[in-house]
Amino acid sequence: MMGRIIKTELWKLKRYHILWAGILLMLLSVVLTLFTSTAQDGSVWTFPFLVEQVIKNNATTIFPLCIALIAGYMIAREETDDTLKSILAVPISYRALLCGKLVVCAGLSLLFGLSSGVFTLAGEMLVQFPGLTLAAILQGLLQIILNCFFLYLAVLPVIVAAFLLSGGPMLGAVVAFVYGYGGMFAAGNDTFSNVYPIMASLGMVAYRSYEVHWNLPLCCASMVAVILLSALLLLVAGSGKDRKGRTKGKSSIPMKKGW
Amino acid sequence: MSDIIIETTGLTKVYGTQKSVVDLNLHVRRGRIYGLLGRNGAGKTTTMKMLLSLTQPTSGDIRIFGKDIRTSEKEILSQIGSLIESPGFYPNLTGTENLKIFAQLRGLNRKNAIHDALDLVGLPFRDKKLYSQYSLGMKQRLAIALSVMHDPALLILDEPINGLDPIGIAEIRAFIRALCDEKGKTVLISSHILSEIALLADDIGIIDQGRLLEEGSLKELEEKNHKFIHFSLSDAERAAALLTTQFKTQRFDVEDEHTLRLLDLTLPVPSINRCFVENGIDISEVRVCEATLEDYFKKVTGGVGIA
Repeated sequence: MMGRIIKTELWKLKRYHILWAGILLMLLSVVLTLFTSTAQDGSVWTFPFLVEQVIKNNATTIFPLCIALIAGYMIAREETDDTLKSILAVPISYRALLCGKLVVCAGLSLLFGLSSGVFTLAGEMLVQFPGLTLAAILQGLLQIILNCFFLYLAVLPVIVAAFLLSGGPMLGAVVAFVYGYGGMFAAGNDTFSNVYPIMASLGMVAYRSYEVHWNLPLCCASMVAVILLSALLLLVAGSGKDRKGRTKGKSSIPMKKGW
Repeated sequence: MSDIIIETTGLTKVYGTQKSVVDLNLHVRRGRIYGLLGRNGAGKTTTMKMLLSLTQPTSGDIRIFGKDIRTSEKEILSQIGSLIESPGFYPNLTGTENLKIFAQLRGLNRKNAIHDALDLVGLPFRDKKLYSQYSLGMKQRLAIALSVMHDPALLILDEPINGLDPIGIAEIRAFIRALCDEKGKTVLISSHILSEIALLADDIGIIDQGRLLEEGSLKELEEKNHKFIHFSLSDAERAAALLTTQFKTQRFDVEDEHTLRLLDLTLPVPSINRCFVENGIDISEVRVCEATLEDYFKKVTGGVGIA
């Protein structure tokens, strides 16, 4: 059954414009990084350094907001498009539906990571920092893609909790942004950096940090903790029955009057 | 196997302090079209939602196909096709793509299921038009296609003709009738449009303020209130008293001080006329009338006609 749900979730993404918002946000992250490279702060910019800065921007500014927003829209659309009633009547459990959506979002996080990697490479072609080798490209791409995936895991409880609380995508996006930005403050402390999920996602991809010494088991434990927390939240998600409808305003179908 | 496909006992739904459905005992028979008739907000949709497990009853039992919905939900729902409230589909997909999603979720393996369902409701297969570009009638047709795509034994359709033009209404009516007559499907259909229910349903349930006020076959309801004798006279109260004392009947309604409606058609009208005149009652009009279903609805709900 889960396979069927995932398949249909992928079909639902066809012509779904919100995905382009995600791609654009990934582009924005690279553009912001290139913009900061113009600052005369004494930094020596190379391709590996560019990759590091893109990863940092993804982690602390763009990606948590981006994935929380898109996942939120994907989950909320069943109510805004008024399709939830037809799915529950199949019957498909609400929890299974949410799980299917979250699995697809994991796939999307990899896709956004790939797009971020491609934009980084395109940016490098444009500004031509030194240090562009095949090994650096492969390592950079892998780090960016995997970091996006681990960031998604870090944000997962926020996505689920925010949706259960508000039923819409905006609360999750705002909380995820603050949560991601909080990573900057965690950077000063070794232990906190290794357990704060946003920062732990950097440790998981062996991000070259100048301030933090990564403890991989601790980073893994942080990832496992967010997965468990998300699973717990899904368990209390309920059956979806009696959920408040969040349809787009009033039904557009007029009621026939009279006989 | 039992002849009753849907049976509810004491079904009640309370939202906060508002009772939406109260102590509902519904009986839908196999192979028949049951019309649930009521004004907007009478509790039709809530009842249907409870039957589909989309909302949890506050109390009461639901048995469908002889099984308890609480213990056999999956088994029961897989045999039901439904349309609740307005159609809901993904606006970024075509009609065919939308149906493909639900066919996949249902694990529908029949090759032409989507094609046949679209064909039944007169929508094109693999049309490039997105659902967001559909007209109201097309959306409603697509929702009906979704409800029949998996060849369910029972259809629960909430106001299925909303948004359809008169020709579309006639087509869907004929289509539902054929499903019942030719394929033996059982249909529970709700409407606030009396004429539609009268044209389509075999059995009727009248629901008002969450309560099922009347349930029976259309024929029974028509027989109950088909004809009456209308009297326009000088004193309806005195006439009523005479009917009770002289003709030993209570089957009449005093509508106002000059109008009386005699429901007992077995009584001799010439004798009644004579009796009234002999007792000083002037009669200005006597005629046989046929009550409409709306009159009956008014009578049962004790209020104004249906919207």
